[in-house]
Amino acid sequence: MGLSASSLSAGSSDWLFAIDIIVIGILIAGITLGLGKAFRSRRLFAFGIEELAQAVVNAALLGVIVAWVTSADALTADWADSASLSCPGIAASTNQPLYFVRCSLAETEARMLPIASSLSAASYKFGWLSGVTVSANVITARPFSAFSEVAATYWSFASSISAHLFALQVQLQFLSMVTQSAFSVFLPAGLLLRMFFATRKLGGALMAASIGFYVIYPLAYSSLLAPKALFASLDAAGASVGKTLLPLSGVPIVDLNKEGEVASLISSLSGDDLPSLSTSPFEALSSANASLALALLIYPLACLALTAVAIRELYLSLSSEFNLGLFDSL
Amino acid sequence: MATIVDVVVEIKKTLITLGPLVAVILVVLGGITYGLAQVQPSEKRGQWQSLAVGMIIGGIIVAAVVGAAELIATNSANLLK
Repeated sequence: MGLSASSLSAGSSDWLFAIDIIVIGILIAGITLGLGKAFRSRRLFAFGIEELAQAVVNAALLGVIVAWVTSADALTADWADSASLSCPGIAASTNQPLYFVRCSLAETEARMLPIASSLSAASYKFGWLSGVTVSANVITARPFSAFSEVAATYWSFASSISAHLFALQVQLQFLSMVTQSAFSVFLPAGLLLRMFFATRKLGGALMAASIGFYVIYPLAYSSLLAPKALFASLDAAGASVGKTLLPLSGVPIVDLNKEGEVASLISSLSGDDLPSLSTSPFEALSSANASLALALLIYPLACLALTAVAIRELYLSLSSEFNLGLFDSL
Repeated sequence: MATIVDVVVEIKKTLITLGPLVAVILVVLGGITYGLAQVQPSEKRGQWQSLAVGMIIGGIIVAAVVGAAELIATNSANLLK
């Protein structure tokens, strides 16, 4: 049994591992209970009862979590259509919302990379053009000097895309960790720690965090994400930048010493309406940037806030004692 | 190197082996104590007998819980479904 991607369906390796931990709790509780009764130790007996009850609750919680994951899959079937995504490099998961979010992010990244590359090229080409100086006898002119601002704008768009790529990578790697460890490491560890009085709060916190990040965060995020609109916006931006770069295919000039090369370039570029062409992608780029900011910064932050509230509430429930009052009854 | 999964499985196996041993020891000790209670003076016999009964009941509880541990776990998992 390996600790690969989590799958908590009944009968899976993670499920059996979690059940094993609960069985250990029941065995310890049973032995303690019997010894407490045999040697008339109220503390031992009460400890056994408390542990047995906690183990039963742990098992019930495990069942509930599995039911939640199944319900989340059914709930997201309408909006989280993973089948329409190509999911580059993402292994299939039984948690549909989590898989949908990871697929969407991976495909977004695949569409962002060529745009970032095109933007860098556009910034470089317009920057190079803005520095072109033509000298004719006593007159010196820089016909494309105005493009220095355009180059700076393209560079700022490229920087913005890079920042979004960073945010996307952080999420992808975090969700990858959640997929691999939430139910195969943190949940069993939480179940184990939750059974003992001294570590109950820590166990409750681990369980709450694993439920929060495996179930609630992907569910909330997948309900907000609209990958098709995001992809359309990115595709429009990419196409627009590509169209602008088309007349600049001769830039930069490799052989500057070749006679008439600069004059020929200026002549060819004068035919195109370069100023309006250079700014034409700005609207599509702004739209793509706004979509990326929403999808990669604002939505995750909102979902994190929601998840934090859910984890806190779950922690309060999971780390509580039963207070069965056995010391009084014995 | 043993993984955490192997360690957990080994702990479970150890406890499943240990449980019936504890149960048998408690029942046997209870029986011996009950026998010894019969040779005690009447004012102490009751104490010895209740200790013996406690041991036997403790042994039965250990045997019952340990024997049904898997069943309790799997059935509890369906409690709130």
